Amino acid sequence: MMSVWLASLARPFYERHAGLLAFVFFVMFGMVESSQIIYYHHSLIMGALQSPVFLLLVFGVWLAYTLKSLSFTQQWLHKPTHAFLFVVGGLPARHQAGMLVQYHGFIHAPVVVYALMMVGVAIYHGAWWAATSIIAVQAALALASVWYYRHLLMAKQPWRLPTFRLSLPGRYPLFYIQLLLSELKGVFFRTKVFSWLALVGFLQIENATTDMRIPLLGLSLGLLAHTVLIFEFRKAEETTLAWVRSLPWSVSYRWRLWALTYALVMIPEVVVLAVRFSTVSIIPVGMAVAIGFCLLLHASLVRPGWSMERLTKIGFLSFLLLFGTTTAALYAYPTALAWLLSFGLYAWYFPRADPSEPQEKT
Amino acid sequence: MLSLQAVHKAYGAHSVLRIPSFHFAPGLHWIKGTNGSGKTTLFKLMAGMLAFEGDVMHQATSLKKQPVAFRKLISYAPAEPMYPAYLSGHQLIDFVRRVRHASKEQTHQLLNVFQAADYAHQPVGGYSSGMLKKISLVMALTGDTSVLLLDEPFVTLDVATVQHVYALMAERLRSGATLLVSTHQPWQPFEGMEVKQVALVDKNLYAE
Repeated sequence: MMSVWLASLARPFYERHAGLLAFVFFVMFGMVESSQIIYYHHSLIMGALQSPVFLLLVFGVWLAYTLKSLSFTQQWLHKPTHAFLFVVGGLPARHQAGMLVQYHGFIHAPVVVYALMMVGVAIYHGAWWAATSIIAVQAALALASVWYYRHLLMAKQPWRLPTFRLSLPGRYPLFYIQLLLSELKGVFFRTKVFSWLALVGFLQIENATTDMRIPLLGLSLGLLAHTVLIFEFRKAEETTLAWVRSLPWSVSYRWRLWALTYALVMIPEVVVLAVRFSTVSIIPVGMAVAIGFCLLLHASLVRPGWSMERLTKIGFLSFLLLFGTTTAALYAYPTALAWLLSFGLYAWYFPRADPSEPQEKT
Repeated sequence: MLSLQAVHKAYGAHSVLRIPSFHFAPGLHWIKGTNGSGKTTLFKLMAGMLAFEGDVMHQATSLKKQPVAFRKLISYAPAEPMYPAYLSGHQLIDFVRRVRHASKEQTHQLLNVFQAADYAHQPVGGYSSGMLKKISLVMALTGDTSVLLLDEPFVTLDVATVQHVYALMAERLRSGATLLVSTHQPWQPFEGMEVKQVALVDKNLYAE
């Protein structure tokens, strides 16, 4: 039973997130010379153990990972093809809990392994308080996850953020903001948490408030998290808002409305940048980079046969390009290219393609 | 005059419409056709929602060459309206009103005629199909377009509302509009209304 459970849920989890995990692995282990890896990670862990803020950021990343895995499990468990897994709900409680703990451990293996390394270093250096808090956080995340999996298996309603009804004026960009705040609250919350962590993490680096490249690197990482929102926007544009095609708007006006929509979405990030950076020049630069990235990804999905896979590939490549050029202070070039290319793609494909739903793998 | 010129629409290799030439004079046109004959595709195509070969012209305005100007002249009520569940009828109607530069009085009046004012503030996700149909008709009738494309406008509507739709159609016809209506419902032509029947058969349009 355990192997079926893992093959049905854990395997697709790693398949779906292979790109992101590979990137994190590359950042953590691939960017440092092999002879320096142990020293590098020892320094990184010591930094977290000695700084409560840094440690809280690490806990935040773990929490985001847990929320992601819970969301994935909930989504897949409710697929018709996975309905048979509810048979686990009929197992004795002890047996069931054992399975779910193993599943949590399997899904969280990268996090748990690194947490154990941190605990080892903390104990070696006598940082008992930090070691205890790491164990407590990991235990709390495991218990909460197992409790939630059981909650789902008992066929209870999935947990949702408290509902409130927001009614914005009838303006096209605000339709998408309302989509985020009504039907995509969880995705929106996770995206913004990840984006905020990426930004704040980079802002901890020396000279981050004076060297524009550093916050822009954080922003580019945060933008990568927005691919899911861009995908959902495109889906809405092609389904429940497909009728807007019959309204008297030019293609360039529609594209400008998208630029405005993404400007609204990126307001939180730009506020963080404006507050933390030394000059206000970060506001137009940050906004231009963020909107350009989102527009390019959006426009790349206007071609027929669009899918999450295509978005993931283009998103990752765009991110690598932006990240690399930003390091060399050349971010203006990919940003200008993104704006131009997005307009070209949108203007060419939008009038030539029928409304279509994404091609999704089951 | 609303004209279709060398219109061809295919979904992949499957050809749905092939209309060498057809003209709709101002007035009421009943588009007849069996299920799957391509009526909805024809309506969506003329509304500018689908890509196709050929062109559609109205008052010397081309859908292909002047897409914005053409869309100002035309409005469309779908057979099965689909809107974001989280938006209210008011939000949708207000949005269309602004785009079409229509007055608040007009939308207010339409909401009253369709008896939709009481629920229009609620999200459309909670509407019945009839309630949703009324909102889609209000949206299509908002503004002063000279071509109205009504795809199955009477489906799911109660008898009283159907009479209101007839009255609104008659009003538009008096102002010289072109109305294209598809319906499988029993047709109830009202006084002074001349219905021109058009059959959609074998991917082409034929006047009857």
